[in-house]
Amino acid sequence: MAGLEIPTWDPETAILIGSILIEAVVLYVG
Amino acid sequence: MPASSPAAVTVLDSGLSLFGSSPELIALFVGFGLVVGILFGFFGMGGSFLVTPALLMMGYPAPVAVGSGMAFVFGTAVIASLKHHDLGQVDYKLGGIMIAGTTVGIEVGRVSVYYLESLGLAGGVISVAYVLLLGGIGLMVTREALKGDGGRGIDHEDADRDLSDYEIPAIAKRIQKTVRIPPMVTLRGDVRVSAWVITAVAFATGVLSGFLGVGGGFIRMPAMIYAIGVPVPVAVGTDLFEIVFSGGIGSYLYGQGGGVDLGIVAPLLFGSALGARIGSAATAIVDADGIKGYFGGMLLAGAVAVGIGEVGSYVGSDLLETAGLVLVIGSAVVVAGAIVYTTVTSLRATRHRQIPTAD
Repeated sequence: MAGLEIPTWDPETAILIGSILIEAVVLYVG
Repeated sequence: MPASSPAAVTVLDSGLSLFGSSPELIALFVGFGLVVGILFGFFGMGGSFLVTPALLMMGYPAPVAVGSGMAFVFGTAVIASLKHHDLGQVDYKLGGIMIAGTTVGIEVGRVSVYYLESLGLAGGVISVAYVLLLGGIGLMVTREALKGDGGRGIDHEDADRDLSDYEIPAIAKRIQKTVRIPPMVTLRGDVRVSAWVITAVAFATGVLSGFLGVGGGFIRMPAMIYAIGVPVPVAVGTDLFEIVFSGGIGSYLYGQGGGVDLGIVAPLLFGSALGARIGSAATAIVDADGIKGYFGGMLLAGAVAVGIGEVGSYVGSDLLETAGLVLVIGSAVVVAGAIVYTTVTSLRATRHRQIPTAD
């Protein structure tokens, strides 16, 4: 099977996942 | 095919598609999220089952359907964890071991999806897996509902129960006695089990999550209780705690490969947060047992729907593919609608009883 990946720092992806996290927090608080 | 503009399709390759979807598509996702949220808020499960199959039938490539489904699960897990902010009785040692196992499992699932996609088989294989999953769980839930078993199964309210009245299930005791491969760990509730048993459970459920885009809690929680012997209150909280981390890492890895479409996830999450409040509120008014049968039926209809959609895709029939999509969304809408309708009629009946009659 093709190699498993270890998460490496990638600002674009971090922003993407971070925005989902922030949306979740905002929706909880709101 | 998705109704988004061609620009959104090219943006998808870089992993970012900030609201690249058309307004109609966003509205559709908010609505679908609302329905999924009502089901999740009411039954405590059943949200993520429908997202990935629906996305597959809408024509999204498998990595995007699964990756966005997983990111949606991550978002809902964050909200659920915040709601249970003390998380009941989390076993952090157990959670830590499970995060490691689940994350590796998710990555194996993810690599499998991309590998199958390179062979052009991902959509088909994942669809077949969903037919079996939805069909299996649908049969289980329907059978439970017909037997008239009380309760909604494991739910997050169980997080508050006392550990002292807990008894380890017989099968878990047997596993603990048989599998004594070191290192052995002692968990909350005085459970002594091999770390390899924990890792195996976490890995297996992680592969399921990573391959299908589901939360996996519907398998992980019973597995924690019956295979590891974790008390229910600890299983509930620890499951939530660990899926936030493993789901987050899994979403990140899918995102790096362009599998997370914010134009899908953001509106879904928004709708589902609202729907979950409605669903949760309804649990105080409506007895879940009456509607459980509908929920089982919905899962079975979902299995049939995915099957029809897959046959349609195989023979090249747009009509069958559309029929499958309509059936999967329609059956979810019917059950969510039944919950809302029953809530409203119950509230009306209560209000009528409270109005004093003129004598």
